Amino acid sequence: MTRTITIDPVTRIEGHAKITLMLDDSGQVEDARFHVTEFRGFEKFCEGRNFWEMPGITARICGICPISHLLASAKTGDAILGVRIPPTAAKLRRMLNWAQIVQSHALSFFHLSSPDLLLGMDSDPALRNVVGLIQKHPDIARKGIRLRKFGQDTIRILGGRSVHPAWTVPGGVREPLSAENRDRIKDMLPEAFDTIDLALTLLKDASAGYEDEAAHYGNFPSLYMGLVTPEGGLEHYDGLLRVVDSGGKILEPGLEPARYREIIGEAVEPWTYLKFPYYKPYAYSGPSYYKMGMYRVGPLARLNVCEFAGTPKADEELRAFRQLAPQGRAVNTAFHYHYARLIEILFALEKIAETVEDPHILDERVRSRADVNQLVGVGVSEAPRGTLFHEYHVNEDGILQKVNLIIATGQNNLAMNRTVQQIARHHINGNGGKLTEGVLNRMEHGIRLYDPCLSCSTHAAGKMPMHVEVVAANGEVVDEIIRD
Amino acid sequence: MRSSATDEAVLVIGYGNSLRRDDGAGLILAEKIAAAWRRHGRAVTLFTSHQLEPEMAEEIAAAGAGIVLFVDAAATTAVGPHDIRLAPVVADEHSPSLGHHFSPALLMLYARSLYGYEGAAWLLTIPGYDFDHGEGLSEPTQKLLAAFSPAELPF
Repeated sequence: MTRTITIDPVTRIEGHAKITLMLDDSGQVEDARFHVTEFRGFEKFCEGRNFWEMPGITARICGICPISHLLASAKTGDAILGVRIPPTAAKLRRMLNWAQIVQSHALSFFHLSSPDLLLGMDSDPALRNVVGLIQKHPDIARKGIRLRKFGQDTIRILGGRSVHPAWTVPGGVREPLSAENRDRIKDMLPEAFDTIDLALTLLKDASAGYEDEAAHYGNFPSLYMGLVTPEGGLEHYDGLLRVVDSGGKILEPGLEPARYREIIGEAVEPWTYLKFPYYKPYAYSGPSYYKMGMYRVGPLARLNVCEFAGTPKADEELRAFRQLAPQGRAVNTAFHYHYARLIEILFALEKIAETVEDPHILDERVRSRADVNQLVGVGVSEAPRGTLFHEYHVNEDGILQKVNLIIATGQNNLAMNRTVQQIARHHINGNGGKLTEGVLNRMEHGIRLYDPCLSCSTHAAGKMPMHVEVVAANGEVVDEIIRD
Repeated sequence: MRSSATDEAVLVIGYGNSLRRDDGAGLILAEKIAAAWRRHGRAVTLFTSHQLEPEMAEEIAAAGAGIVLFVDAAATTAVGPHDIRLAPVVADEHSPSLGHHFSPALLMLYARSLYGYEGAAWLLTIPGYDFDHGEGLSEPTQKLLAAFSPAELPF
């Protein structure tokens, strides 16, 4: 017997994202706030668990970047054990992280942003979506899926499954890489290289039509933070924390990541559950004390803080990327996150290709074993969206007493707000605060440049609809749009 | 278009986060349905996942099943208390506006448009009452799960 059949929509939404644009007395955009209204205390939930469980638990914060949490957590576990993991284990973990960068950046570029980029911001809204992309460029849509699949399959080959693999553990990894699995990864590489070459060509061809967006989408001075190798090269797994300013001046050349609290503070605001991490040395006293410490993380920041990539093709693209800013200065336009993302995919593929040829990659010593030797551990790695910090405090039995996670999306929070404000000022001022489909799309695109992971940053479940509200100086809502 | 005969091969895709209590109900219900059908000799392929992802479109087409059944949990805070519901999935063009969550409708659009999948697609939704961090289901969701029989499905 059939129970209930209905065509009513059933949602799994729990929270929503909201942008509030505040107008001044003259009707001009004065400020913009990107709110996220869902929150669960993930750090609190972890207290009382054993630190050995944390890679598996924290990886389940998010289905898109579980590897980031897995690696940061395993590295925190390494610190609690007080061990240096075997070199082959570190190489395998790095390969896992690069595979994740490929799959996550491919999702951002091909599935979320390419309809805007390849079809045009002002094209028919009914077609400026994945349907339009499929109609006009079906092969590109398929290649995008295949590139993401390369990343997911590599993760699956290394970790046993693509989401939440339990392969990475404190002390190293559970299993060595077999020759057969190494060859499977190797065989998939040529197609992935072809696709990233195509994506770079598409982006460069499309960019000529986006000079206005490049000038107004998050184009402002800020600080940038990311990991670099001890030599100053592009780094995603280990290394040292570097901070540079928009003029290219190095403020922190190479801070040991475990000392991150010396330079990073976290502010809170009553109107959003996202925290506002800031660079402490630039904070001052006053109600908005933290805003001068705004820094950006993620692909744009990583390319701004490094001196070189360290692989031939990525270095060639990095030289072209640097031409987007006056010599010696940082590339300050968030619109170029797209280009930075593609350069990082290229870099990741080159590094994977290099690693599978490493004569020691099949070594069987992949795990160091120890018990609790330190009561505080910090693990830092570069997630696709930026630097990820895990800090655990444990007792002698390894039971967690306190957990702090600083998520990449949170660190871009100030910059996302500033980007929305900039786009709104450019497109709304002069039309009485009237929202249009095109303006909404541009503000969404402005946020998407940072590829925020709202699951990670707020620990929410389900997708989030967007609610944009324009508020006049007298508090009256003069316009609003809600879009799923 | 293939028919929806009760002996047709089925691809069951259960998704959700098993560390967010009732959000994991879709995974459990998917396993229950797949196990029951297999006991009756039906050809069933089971995927379970934290969330839907674009590459699943290729896998849907490659699985060779005439029916795709998505199984998910839904928040009653959004729609009010309700029973387990079944609805056809209509391919939809909406890309995620900000997050990274793919809907069954978008995934089916990919599967049909890019990989030529022609079978039917349904979404079975179980209500969730508690999406806080933790393992295990709330009592009302557990009761609904226990009471549900795959024989109630029309295919």
